[in-house]
Amino acid sequence: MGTALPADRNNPVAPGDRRAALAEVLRSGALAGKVRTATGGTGGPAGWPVPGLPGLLPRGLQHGQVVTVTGSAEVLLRLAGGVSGAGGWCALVGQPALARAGRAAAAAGVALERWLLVPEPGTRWADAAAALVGAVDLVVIAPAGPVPAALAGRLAARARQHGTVLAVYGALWPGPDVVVEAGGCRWSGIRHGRGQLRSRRLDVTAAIRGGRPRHITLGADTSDPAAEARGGLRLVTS
Amino acid sequence: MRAIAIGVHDWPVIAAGLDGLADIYTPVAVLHQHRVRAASPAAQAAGVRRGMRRRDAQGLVPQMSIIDHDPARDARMFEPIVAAVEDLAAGVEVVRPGLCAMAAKGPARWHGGEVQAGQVITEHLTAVCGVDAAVGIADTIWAATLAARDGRIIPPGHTPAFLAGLPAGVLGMPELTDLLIRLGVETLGQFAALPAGDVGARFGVEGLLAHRLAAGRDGQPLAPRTPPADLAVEAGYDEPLERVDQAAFAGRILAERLHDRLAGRGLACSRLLIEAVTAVGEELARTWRHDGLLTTAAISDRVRWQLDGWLTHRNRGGNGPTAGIARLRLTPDGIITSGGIQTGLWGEAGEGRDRAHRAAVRIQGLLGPEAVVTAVPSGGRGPAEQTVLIPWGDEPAPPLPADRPWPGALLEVPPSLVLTRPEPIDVLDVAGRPVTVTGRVRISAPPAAIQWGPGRHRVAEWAGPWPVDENWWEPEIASRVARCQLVLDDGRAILTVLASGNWAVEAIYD
Repeated sequence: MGTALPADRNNPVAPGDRRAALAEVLRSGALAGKVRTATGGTGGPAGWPVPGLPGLLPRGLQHGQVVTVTGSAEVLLRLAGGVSGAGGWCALVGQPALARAGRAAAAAGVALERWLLVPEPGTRWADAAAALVGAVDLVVIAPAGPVPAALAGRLAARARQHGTVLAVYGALWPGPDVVVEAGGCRWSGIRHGRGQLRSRRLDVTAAIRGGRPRHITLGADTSDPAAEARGGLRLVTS
Repeated sequence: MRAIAIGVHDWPVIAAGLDGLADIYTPVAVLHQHRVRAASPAAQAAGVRRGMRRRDAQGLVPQMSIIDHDPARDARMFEPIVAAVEDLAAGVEVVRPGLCAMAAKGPARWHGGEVQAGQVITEHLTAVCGVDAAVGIADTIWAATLAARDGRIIPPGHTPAFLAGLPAGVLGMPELTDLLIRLGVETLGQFAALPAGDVGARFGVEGLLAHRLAAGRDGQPLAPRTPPADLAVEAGYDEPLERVDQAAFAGRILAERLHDRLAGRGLACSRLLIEAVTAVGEELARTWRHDGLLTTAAISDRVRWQLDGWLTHRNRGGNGPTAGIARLRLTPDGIITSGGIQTGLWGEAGEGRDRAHRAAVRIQGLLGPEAVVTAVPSGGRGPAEQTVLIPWGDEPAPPLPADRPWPGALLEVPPSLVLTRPEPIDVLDVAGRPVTVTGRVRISAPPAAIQWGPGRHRVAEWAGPWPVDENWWEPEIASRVARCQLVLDDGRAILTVLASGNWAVEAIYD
């Protein structure tokens, strides 16, 4: 942002001009947009971007949507990472094993200081979820069994009203807006006792209500070092 | 309003000394996140400076005692000092641990002048508490606290000139000052010269407050015209609060209520009166002030520190309490209007945090303080050690440093599920015999299948074993552990751990 400002440190101007220029910048509001993007906190009208799943959700995660995710915890973390990376707050209710995977969450783009965890809510998971929907930008829930339709409707309505994304992990949900499914995992990096798990290919499908399902394959193509440098992601089909 | 500030230099070190953790006449440094927060005179004489990295400081003084910074300790050890200042002056306000301030008028009249009052107070502190304090006197409380850094007395009317030469960084608001410095505003004088209306429009009420402070004025004229109704919140406890953690949680809930009550009226406060009544009827009171707005977190920190101070000094004689706390009351003071002014540049982030924080506290009230946690990266070799869960609201300090190499740690791909308790499995070779690892970390045979609960899975690929001989230098707690990564035939990958002959699944690359 430095180059756009008249009173940049690297581009000094006379002190008198500098003050006048500063007052002008303060008044004009030219600064506001720039600084706000730096601090984040807004998903914008286009929804939250999900750079961790390129090409899967072209319009991003819409505010107030219900998304179900099955087949991969990492895919779920990448969805949260999109919201978190744009400055949003995310929360997780249940799934203690996912809560303890702090390094994987950070690797997926989740800012751990904005990742609220309620790992063991017991039978009060719906109360915890209801308190978080409306207070944070994305809430992950992982109900152990089927969710009563009335409860699901209440939570979804609250999410829609407050613009919170409700991500349902590994469970059925009546009438979700987006269904994300992962599968067909192929690991690479280890062979006959040597190496270390390094990367994998994973097929991810997203069915948006009223739209054609989209399909991507995540995973590094080791023959293409540039792809690895970009974060190991490659869009195969759409 | 003329004000006297009383400060103890390098308070974190002095507090550690008073707490019996160090001898402050030897080289001592208090570190926060691997950087020097405060150093004893002996360490400073050797060149140790605030902000220096641990390694550099230890390079200068290898035998230096290193103590971790603990804000709670700083506050707890400061409580008797404030009580001693109160012996000689009324209306003492704690600015932060190690620094308190008061209006100069009363003590000056009583002791025959501002300078004399300052002298009497420091002599009293030396005699009663054994600490050397510095005095600063100026036209506002904030300026007096800055003057106390060098023990200066600013004559009436000279405060704006004194402040004008100071760097903008002394405002203690990094976001604001970073931006100001990028804009070429480097001193308080330059900041004060900006038009107040523009500063308020662009930086919000907090910026406006800072602007007034920089100009050598206090924040009072921002007060609402009609004094608000009683804003104090209070709570009684059938079982008196005896433990610091109980008190901290009760304080947090009350701080939450106070903040909601203020926010609901578009108000904020810059001073906080904390009052407590003990189970035997003793009344305790302390005022904390803050130049800037007290956020929910700032209020609950101060309440926690104060309660910690009172409960810790219980039964230590003097005027401390002798029983647990039965009633607690928070009264906001220095009320200013915060609503109606445009949200500051970083206001949205703060607002998001406050909303999340309120929800977290509500759930803690419902399920207990331990129910809401954050994940904090920590040091260690296994995935279970590399993330610790710390209750929301506690300081996110990892038990082991995360930023040093941990040989034997598997770092390429972090597992996305880390089991709370490892699940026992059997690892079998092609002939169905259990796979073992020898003392020389050789695997007995390639793993071919696992028995995981009722399910049997073929092993498609494997890697390892990686030995983790933790604490091998301490035989009693040494644990011989080896890890293997297995890819199952359905594409799942798992991290298994072998400890004392038993295999278990520790984490899943899901």
